[in-house]
Amino acid sequence: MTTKEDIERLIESCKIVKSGAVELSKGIEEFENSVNKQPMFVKPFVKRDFASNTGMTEEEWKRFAERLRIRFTSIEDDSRKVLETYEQQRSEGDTYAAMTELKGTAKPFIDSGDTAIKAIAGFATYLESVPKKIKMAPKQFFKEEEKKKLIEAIPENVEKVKGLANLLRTIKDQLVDITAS
Amino acid sequence: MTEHSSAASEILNNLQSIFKSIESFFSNVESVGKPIEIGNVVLIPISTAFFGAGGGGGESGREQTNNGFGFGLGASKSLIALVIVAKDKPGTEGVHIHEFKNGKTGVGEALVEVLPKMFETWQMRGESPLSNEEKEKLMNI
Repeated sequence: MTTKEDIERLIESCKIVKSGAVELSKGIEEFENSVNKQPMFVKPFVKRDFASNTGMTEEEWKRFAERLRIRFTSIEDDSRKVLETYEQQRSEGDTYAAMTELKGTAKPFIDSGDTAIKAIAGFATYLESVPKKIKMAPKQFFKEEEKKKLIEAIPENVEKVKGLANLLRTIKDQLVDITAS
Repeated sequence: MTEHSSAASEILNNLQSIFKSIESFFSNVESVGKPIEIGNVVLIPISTAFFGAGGGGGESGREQTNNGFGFGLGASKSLIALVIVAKDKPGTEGVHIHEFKNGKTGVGEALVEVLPKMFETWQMRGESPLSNEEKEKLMNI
């Protein structure tokens, strides 16, 4: 039986996923900008390295992040409708109808959530390997100052990306429980 | 011919002969450049050196005291190939030779031409972490 508290927790999780998706998109954009500043023969190397290790190009990652944001905006909206039926003590029929709508909206994420988690966790693993790659890059390709700046920014981003993958794991479980009841 | 002019002519002949020897020694000599390491790949540039020399002369007469002669030499290097060695592949399997079609002279130009080949080498090492089907799922999540 889904409780009001379950729905409230789900709404909070949706908010965090939405901001995580926006941050992911911004992070990819920053990465793109940083790559575009590199010498012309470095750009294809880094882009290819990124795509072959994360499974998607920067453009695809931005599209995926946007899809994630849109999906969780819809899940949040539908969860609020379910919550309203609890708060306003409406009939069970109303709650059931709102819940059915939420199930439909959540289904694409429930079906593809594991792939999303795998992709994001893989992205975090790639980020962890980046400092080593930057250190290995010939000095003609990256200035020492640039190398240092890039390496310093990575640990924080790794934690954020890992956090997003973990949150998606939690929210998928929440949605499976809610939609199964 | 004056004393001056015969001395100039002699020096010039000597220089030309010296240049000729150097030229034949250096022309088409292939040189191996310093290896460049990028991750697990080592690039070894192979260049050809061209050597050129020229001379000049002059003479003076009794009425004119100015005389002179000159000479010059020059050398240029042209990158003709890159040997690409993948460290993690044993034997000849990990060695590729990339030949430049038009005798590129700049390393930048050479890298632009050779990098796609290097990427192919890297990509061969592992499959993409996401299949097309999985990517499709993510685009429709």
